[in-house]
Amino acid sequence: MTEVVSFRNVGVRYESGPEILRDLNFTLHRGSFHFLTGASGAGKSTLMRLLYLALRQTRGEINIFGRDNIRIPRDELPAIRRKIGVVFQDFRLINHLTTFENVALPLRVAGVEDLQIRKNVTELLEWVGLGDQINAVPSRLSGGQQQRVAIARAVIGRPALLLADEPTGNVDDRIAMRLLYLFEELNKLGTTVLIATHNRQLVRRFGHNQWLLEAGTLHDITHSA
Amino acid sequence: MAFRSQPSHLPLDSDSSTRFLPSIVALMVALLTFSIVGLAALHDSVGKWSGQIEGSLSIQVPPTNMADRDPEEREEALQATVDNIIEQLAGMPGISRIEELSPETMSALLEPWLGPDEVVSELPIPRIIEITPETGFNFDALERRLGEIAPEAVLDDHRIWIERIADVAFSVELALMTLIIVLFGATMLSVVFATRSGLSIHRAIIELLHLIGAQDSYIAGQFARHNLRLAFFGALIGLLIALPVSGLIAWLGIRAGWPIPTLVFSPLFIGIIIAIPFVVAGVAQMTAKRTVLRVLRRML
Repeated sequence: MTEVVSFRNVGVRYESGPEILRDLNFTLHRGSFHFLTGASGAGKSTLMRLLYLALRQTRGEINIFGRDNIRIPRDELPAIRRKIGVVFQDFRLINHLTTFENVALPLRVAGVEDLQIRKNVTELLEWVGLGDQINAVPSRLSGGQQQRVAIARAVIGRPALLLADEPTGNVDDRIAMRLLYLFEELNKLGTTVLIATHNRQLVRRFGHNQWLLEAGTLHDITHSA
Repeated sequence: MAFRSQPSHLPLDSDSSTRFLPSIVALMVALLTFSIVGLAALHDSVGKWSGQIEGSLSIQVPPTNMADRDPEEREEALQATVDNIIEQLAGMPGISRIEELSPETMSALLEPWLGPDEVVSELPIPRIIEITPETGFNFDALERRLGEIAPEAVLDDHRIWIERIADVAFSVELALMTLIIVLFGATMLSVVFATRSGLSIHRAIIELLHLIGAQDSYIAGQFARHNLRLAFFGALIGLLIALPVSGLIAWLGIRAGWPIPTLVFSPLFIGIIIAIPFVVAGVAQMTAKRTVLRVLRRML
């Protein structure tokens, strides 16, 4: 199976503080689906930041799409980042842009044609139940709606790797299930999915691989959960 | 320079720099325009003055060894020397005109210092002969010939005045050029500060754009377009203020009899004035782009 991401003895510390993450060893294969659980402060967001190339490890080796992350030249980073879709815990929507423009952002920076953008974004917004909010700015949307915009933005470019940090934290169960089905659909098309969540019920219902991050180390609990 | 509209992902229009930058650019461009107008006027005037001085020579015929003669006899002797010089030199190649400065002109020139012409006529004043040379005139040959005709006569080619005028003009031109460079530098610094402040305000959006795969040039392009627009607008305002004010100052100066240098509206001058907003906007665009790229290079 093709390796999308692999970590070998990875550790992270901020300045001279203690290691937040230590001795991480895992591989994400193409088309795999993992849930990442762990208590608050266990390092889930730090691990996510390593994966979406917003942070560098202080030790160890990270390979992403076959490239050593430390050796990727700066001008090649955007092309690699375009293969990664990220749903941020705090959504990070751009407040002065409409729902449509926020979702279209990854396609715009990739230079996709306007006609294609219009078609794909409108279709996806309908799918996530935001067809009637296409021209609304984030401040006019509820927390759940903002979350769905963030998810739509992460998946619009059909990423090879989808990373989601608490993607169902602000939505009701019906919408949470619908969003998870969307992730599964993408996964079936070959996208590797890693979802950090507190929602144990959701994790159990979908029955994918489960990792537990505890005190900075990662444990595979797929079969023990 | 491109003015076509593109969706801006950075809300730069709401920044304080949007109000600050056009004002500072307008002020800089107004000062820049005053300097350029001043420089051009001075350059034109110096050229004209030098041309006028270079285009003439004068011979002074002093009343040497005539102090003990009575005025009438002295003037007769001087007139004879002057007539002899004019007669002998008129045939020399390269001299297009040679004539004595009339007594009326001499009196008018000396009146501010020596009083009415009755007094002037009593004094042993040197006679002046004006010569208009042709191009390629041989100054040394004239000096030699004059030495033979009237050794006491002095040939003055105004070289010392030309050199002094050139020195003063060069110093003023240098000062204005330095001012223009300083103003350009100050404009660029304003753009750098405005851009850095924008980068700092929108750091979160810039990081997001990076994470979704935006190239540095894409982000820098947004700042560059924004600054191009603001600087062009500011430069136009500055130009529209400076040109009428320059004209008004010149008009008031001429009315008041100040020695205002005159300006010839040459195609080069008009071209430079028209180019100011474009050059300033281009420099602002380039400066913003370089500033953003330099800052982004330090980000992951």
